[in-house]
Amino acid sequence: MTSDTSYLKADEMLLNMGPQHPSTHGVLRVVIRTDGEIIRHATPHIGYLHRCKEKIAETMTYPQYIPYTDRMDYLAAMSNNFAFCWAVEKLGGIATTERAEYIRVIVNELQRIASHLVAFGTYGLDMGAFTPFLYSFRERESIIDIFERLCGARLTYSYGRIGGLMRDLDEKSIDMTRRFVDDFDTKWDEYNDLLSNNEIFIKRTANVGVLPADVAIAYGCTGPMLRGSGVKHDLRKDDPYSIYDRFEFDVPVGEGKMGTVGDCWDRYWVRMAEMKESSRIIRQALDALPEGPYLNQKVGRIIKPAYGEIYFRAENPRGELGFYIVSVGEKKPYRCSVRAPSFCNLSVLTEMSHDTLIADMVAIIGSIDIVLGEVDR
Amino acid sequence: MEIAQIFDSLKQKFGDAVLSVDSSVKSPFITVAPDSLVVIMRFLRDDPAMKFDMLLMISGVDYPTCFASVTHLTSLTHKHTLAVKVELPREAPEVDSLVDIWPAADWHERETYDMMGIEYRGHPQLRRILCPEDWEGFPLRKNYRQPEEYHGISNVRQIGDDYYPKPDEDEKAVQGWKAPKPPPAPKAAPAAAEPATTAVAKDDPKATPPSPGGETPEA
Repeated sequence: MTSDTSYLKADEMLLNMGPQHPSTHGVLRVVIRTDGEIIRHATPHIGYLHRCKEKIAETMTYPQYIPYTDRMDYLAAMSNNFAFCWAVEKLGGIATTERAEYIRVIVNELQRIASHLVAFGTYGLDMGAFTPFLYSFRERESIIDIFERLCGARLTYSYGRIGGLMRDLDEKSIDMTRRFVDDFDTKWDEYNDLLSNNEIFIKRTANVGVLPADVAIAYGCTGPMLRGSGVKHDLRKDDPYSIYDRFEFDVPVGEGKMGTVGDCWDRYWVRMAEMKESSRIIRQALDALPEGPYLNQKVGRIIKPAYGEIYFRAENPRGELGFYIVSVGEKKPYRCSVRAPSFCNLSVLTEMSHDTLIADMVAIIGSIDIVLGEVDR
Repeated sequence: MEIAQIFDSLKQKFGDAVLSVDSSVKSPFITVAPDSLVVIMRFLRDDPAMKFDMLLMISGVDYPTCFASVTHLTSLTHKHTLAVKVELPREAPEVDSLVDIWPAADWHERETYDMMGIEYRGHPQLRRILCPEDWEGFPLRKNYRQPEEYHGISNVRQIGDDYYPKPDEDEKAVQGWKAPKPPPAPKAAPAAAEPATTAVAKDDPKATPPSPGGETPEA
């Protein structure tokens, strides 16, 4: 930042929010030019968590890179693992097994619920409601216990393998998943009583941070950000990958139930409704889960995809995660570029926060649901 | 719309500015001339048959002969995707900015500038986004050397270069790795072993193999 502040008008002042701030969800720094309570301009500064993920990818083999994808979106590590595995499998023409794909879908949707639960809990926390956080983490704990049984880790799983999975889903895990899904539906109603229909919460989020559909599209917003603005776009439906075309589910979009289409409440509600849809997918996948191997045993340690490149995209909890991999026939990628959904979603912050109140800034950042590990990579 | 159709209609409209299409790779891409990038992109966004309304990503690739700026587009209306590549000379990688067409290009171009050193002409504020503003060099270039220190903080390993295995030693270890063989069956001592003794030793699980230089096992 320049120390020259002569461009500030007499009534204006600069305010620094972050990088250490409880409601920026990580090390995000926003420099705000305010006129009293009104934000005239907000400039996000990112990069505090940059760990050269794309450079690291060029120095290691494809399977070695899987643990690094965990650390991007660490609240949805499973989804990142699978997206990278799918990308490499498509690039190298590697087959997976039927059972592995079903387990991936089950685990992916469980991860989506877990990730949205954090979004729900922390958003309540941002808005001054402490209790929902405790309940959402109680349910998230049940999911993490299933994941711990699967792979031994509780946050950064590295569960995906190229050609399949690290371990099989055993009977006990299936039973745990079924019980969780049944239990979750009743809990979901409680969340709505607790927060979604709470008068104070609606007052803080409805008609706040309205993101019109055309702006969302122009800024490349995806996931609940885009759907909250009323655009029905979900890669699981529109560009189906893996076996997602076999399941029945709806794509919830923002309808302006409490205020305007595309406000903070709509984005929040899309996440809530998506959890319900995810549990529908999990039920169908559990019923159809085939027997068989969980890993294609023919895939070796060294994978050398032929010369070529691929852009693979998957619908992550935060939006479209894309891997652009260039291969020159070596065992290491020549270039591995990542399209992080949070990175693109955050870039619209300046536009959204224009002429809003400072207190609403917290509501807006919370409704974007960023993970800084993914923004900075 | 298939990539061949897109290429044909672009070729019809822009002629020689559209260089080539590579359909042999998994995600086909079209290469265009850098000078015409903005007009072609504007056409791709506005034409009703194309309608690429969303910019997904801009990334740079460091090829041995040139730099490439790759733009991935998608259309929410027609549900198709497209990759457009421009090849830029290594000495002065410069291309026009796409910010006026898609505001999403803002951060992506800043990131590509930060990491790969590609200049986007006409970008409102082309400055580093992930690295600190006083960082030297462009990290994703293949010839990048990490600075030895940053503001007096050393980046060099103090323990000495020979502490860690060299990368090629590591690779040899991985390639030569095989499942460990089971330990070889104990052989009876060559001179003292009679055929009968061996047979008994096989039947009796408790029988211990003869230690070298020790006494032969009792049958």
